[in-house]
Amino acid sequence: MYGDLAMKLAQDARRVQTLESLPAYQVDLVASIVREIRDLNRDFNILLKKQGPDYDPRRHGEASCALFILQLCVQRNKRSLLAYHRLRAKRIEELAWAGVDAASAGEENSGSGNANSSSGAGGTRGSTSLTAGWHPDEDEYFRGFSDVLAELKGEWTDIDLVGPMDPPRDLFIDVRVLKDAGDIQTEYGMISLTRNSQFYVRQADVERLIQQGYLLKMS
Amino acid sequence: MYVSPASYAEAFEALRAAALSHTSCRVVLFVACLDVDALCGARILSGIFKRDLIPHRTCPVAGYSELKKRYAELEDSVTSVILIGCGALVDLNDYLLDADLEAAGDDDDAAEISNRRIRRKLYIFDSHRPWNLQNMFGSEEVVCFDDGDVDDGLLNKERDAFEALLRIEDDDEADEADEDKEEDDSDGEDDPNDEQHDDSDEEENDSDLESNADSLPSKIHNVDLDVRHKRKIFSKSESDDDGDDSASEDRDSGVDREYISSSNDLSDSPVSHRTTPSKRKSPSSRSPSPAPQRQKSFSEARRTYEEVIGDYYGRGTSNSTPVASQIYTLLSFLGLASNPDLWLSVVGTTAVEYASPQLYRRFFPLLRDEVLRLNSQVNISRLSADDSALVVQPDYRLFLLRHWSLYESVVHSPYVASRLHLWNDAGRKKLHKMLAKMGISLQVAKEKWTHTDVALKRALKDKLSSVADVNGIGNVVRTGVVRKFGFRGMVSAGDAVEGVAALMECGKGATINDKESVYQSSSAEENIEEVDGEFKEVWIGNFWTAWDALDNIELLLHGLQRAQILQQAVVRTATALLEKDQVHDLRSFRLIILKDGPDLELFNNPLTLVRLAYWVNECKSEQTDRHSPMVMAVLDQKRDTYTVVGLPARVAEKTNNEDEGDLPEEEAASSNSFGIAFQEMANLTHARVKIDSFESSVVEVRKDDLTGFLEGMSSVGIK
Repeated sequence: MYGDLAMKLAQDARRVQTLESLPAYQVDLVASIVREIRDLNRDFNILLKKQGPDYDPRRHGEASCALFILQLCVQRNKRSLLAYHRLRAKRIEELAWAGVDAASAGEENSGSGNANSSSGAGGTRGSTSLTAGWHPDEDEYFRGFSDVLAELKGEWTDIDLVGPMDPPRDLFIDVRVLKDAGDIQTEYGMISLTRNSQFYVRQADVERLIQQGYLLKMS
Repeated sequence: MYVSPASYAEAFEALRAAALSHTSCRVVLFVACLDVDALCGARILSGIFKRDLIPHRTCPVAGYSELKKRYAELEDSVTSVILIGCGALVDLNDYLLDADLEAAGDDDDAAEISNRRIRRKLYIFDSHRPWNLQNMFGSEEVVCFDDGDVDDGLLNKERDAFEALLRIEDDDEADEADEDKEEDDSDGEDDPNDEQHDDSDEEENDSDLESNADSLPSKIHNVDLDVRHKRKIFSKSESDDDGDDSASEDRDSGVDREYISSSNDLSDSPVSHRTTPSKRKSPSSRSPSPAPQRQKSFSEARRTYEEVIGDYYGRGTSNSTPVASQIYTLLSFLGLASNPDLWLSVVGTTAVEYASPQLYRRFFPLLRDEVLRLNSQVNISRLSADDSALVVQPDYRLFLLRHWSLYESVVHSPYVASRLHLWNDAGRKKLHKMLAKMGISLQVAKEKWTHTDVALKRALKDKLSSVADVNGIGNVVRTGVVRKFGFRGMVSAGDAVEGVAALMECGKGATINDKESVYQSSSAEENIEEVDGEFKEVWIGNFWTAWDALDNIELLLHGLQRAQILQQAVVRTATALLEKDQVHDLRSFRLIILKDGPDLELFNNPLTLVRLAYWVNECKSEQTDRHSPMVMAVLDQKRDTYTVVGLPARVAEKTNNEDEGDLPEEEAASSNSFGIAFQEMANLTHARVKIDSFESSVVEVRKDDLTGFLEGMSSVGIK
């Protein structure tokens, strides 16, 4: 009562911030908070009616205090709900920007969403799919947003809009060859990476070899 | 082809243009891996390429054989090969370019490769002299960055002689071709064959030149061409029959090439060449002397020219402008001069001080002016985090003073130690007396410099100057360049050289405090080649450590600790040698043979050996007042060989102070005739000698052959 559940939701939102993927939608919690808001609103109305028509907040201190508290709680619950949903919406937008295949993810989930709505128990599906446990409305939002995005990108096909905003620091890097990596084919020709040499080459050409441990990137 | 300083920029722009047109790796830098100067030069050059985003490859090489091997491995797309600190002495056309052609064997392949190679150029930044004239004047593919000798007219005579010889050779060539043609025509042979003939004659031009050179006096023969001899090593089988030798002409691939018997060398000697000139000529087996009359008319002129060239190569090897300052010149022509590069240049130039102090004295003032120019607004006293300014400060010829104690740095400084005779008791007493006169107690002197009283640090210059002249160390105070590393302290150029060189010699070890690892040895008994290869590997690893240390202060400070350990070993060994009087004074040179001792392994590295040799030579020269060359041989137990180094006589140092303003007169560069002498000796005594080092005065001799080798040396004598 009086914001306890909203507190739980806020904590959940906080947890979501640090998570890699978007966890299941808290259907039950959200429903109970909404119910709490309704209850509080009912109490509020009853209390207000009791005061009669000649209610003056300045003269009836106790009543106005009670009304004020109820009002505060309702607003707090509302704020928590909005925050939770905003956070999730943002995450979904991010996913869409990151180029997650909206069509397949959406379709997959729309199927599950329908199943959920028909069975009436949301967020219970044990799939590892990206959108598992999402609210059907969220799926809808995701799909819609992806469509908008696709439309936007369609206008600028020659620009990678979803690329990273930070320019790469170094196009070329120094690498030292730790083990013979043989000849590698690059966009412009061949480089033979023989041991004990240092190369100053395009980062993109050798990135994979650095990860594999053939080359050592010099700072 | 040579490039004089005035057209450095032009030549470099051409290089850059060739490299820029593509984004694959088209530039390769080969760096002599036991040379601090070359290291600094390569680092600067690499910086220039980075500024222009030119992909390039840096490849340290330990010696001629490795250079050749690595060169052969290059991709065809490489257009520019830059040799830093090596290559000036040998005929690269023959050694690198033609070798490929021959390796290809089959004519089509050879033609194809030569087509590709036409676009490839070799650039040389090297301080070793004499220049190979073929590189300088004979080849378009080889570009030598000259330091002004040609402009000053120092090489005019040689140039004329060389070109005249070329002309003579060309005439001969033409005559022969004509004659061939006439014969062919009269015989009515097919034309295509004929064409081919001419072509091959053209292509053969280079090697003919060489055969011309082959008939020059033996000295040149040894220095000039002997790229081949550069790689001569312990013979595998001395009983190779002559026919095989002349056929294979030590060009055959594989290990054999490196194991040329000395009998083979003999068969290569000028005499045998003259009698069998067809040996190196084109397969068309021409008659040996097609135009005897013309030959005769030329023979007189030819002999004089040959003498000129013979003298040129016979002068012995020497050093000229340090590579680092040469490349800095290039930078300033390009308008790219900056503080970090200047620092590298100063370090590189300081590195040659041991070997040729006169060069250091000649170039240091120029660099000092440059430091002052670029750092005019530096506030010496204030520190900030990323302050890497260079400061000109009074410096001392003491060993790592800033990182050791005053006493230790005095004891380990070759300059002071040799002049105070610190290897005996009398000398040490003299040192203590000197310190007493300076008003410094031994206890204070032995404190770490960083903890020494500030007042003493400030007064040291005056105190030292006051006692210097009396003790014969008049030059102990001089001007030096110091680089700031933010809050991490300052390192002087001299100290940086020691630190970098120490890393080059013994690597950084497993941990920072790993003192033992200085003495680390490679694994146990294996066959000679493998140990040899392993050595080279270690050197190359160390090269990269040193490379990193140039801009990594932590690593550099670590290197300084290593330098202390090394120098202690040097001093210990040198003192033992002098105390036991193991320096043999022969008629024409001093001889030391180092067979045992706790630090023996350290001296298997040529750099460390040279360090020791200089130390002993300094002391000996001071002791006896006789400046004579020195030969030092140290046993490498693992490989059963001796590493032998020859040093020229020490040049007497004038006691004038640079601070006074007047630049010291240019002193004659001390030339080292051991390079030639070693090769001659190898031929004469049949000793199994390996001449692979870029430093021509460093060779390896098989253990059993050392005695004969040295006996030969002492009986023939050194100029």
